[in-house]
Amino acid sequence: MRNAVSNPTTTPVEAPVRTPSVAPAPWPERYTDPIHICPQQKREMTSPDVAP
Amino acid sequence: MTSLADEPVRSSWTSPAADAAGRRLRVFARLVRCSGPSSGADAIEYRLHAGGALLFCTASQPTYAGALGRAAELADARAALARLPLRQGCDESSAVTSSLDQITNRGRNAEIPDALQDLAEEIAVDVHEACAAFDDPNLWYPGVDEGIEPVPDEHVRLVIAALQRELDRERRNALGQNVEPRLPPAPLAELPWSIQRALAERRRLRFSQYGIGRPQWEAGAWSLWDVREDADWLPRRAANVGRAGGYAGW
Repeated sequence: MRNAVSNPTTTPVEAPVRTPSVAPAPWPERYTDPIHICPQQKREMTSPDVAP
Repeated sequence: MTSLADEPVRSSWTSPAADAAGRRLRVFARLVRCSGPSSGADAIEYRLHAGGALLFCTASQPTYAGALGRAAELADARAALARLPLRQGCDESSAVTSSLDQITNRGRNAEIPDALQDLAEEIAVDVHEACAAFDDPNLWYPGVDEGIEPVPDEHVRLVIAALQRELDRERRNALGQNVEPRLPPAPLAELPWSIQRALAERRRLRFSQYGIGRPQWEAGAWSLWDVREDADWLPRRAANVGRAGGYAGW
């Protein structure tokens, strides 16, 4: 008679679920690059109404 | 490198080449034009103008460096270039903004004069570089420890809000074109505080390099003679031509 061998008790290991991460696009692809503003608007962005 | 110093003064107001050196000379080139030659009673005459002011007359067409030197020697010419308006495109009621509740992105705001275009572009480069912190919050972006008065926190917030006005209005697409689809404005107030502070400090430093501090801001006037001479100075857009990460789209 064969010894009954019980199956070892194991805790099922669940593979971690990985959500594919998507790196955000570089900022110039997300926002308007201030450097692209035209010369006149750059003079306005300099804001001479606000103290240096 | 283009030699602006040796170039004859042009007959119309002009923008110096990006690689033309000299901080004060570049400002001067945007201020003056030369008319002539005209035949007077005695001799051929060239006239150098700044805005509506006649600075001086001369028998030969001056170079930019020669004209700047001559204007510095002549009392009337020197005086005409010593008190120039700091703001244009605004009325008295919108000339000064000193609190956050005055900031609005509606309408338009005061702009600095054309002659100070280099100052505007230097500040735009500073804003551009600060935006790299949207991708890297630990960005190395030094502020200014020496040479300027300390900038209080409330002034940092005011400066950031003022810069934001134009970003809100002047949106572009990813290629920098003024067509759809436009990208949202960069939200400067979401930058790390250390970056916002450094940006405000750099702005104060840039103004000081053009001789503009609190007294000039309160008076609404600046002087060509207070702009640093910096004969070898080049705009950063010229210094970055051909380099990786250079400022495309200027």
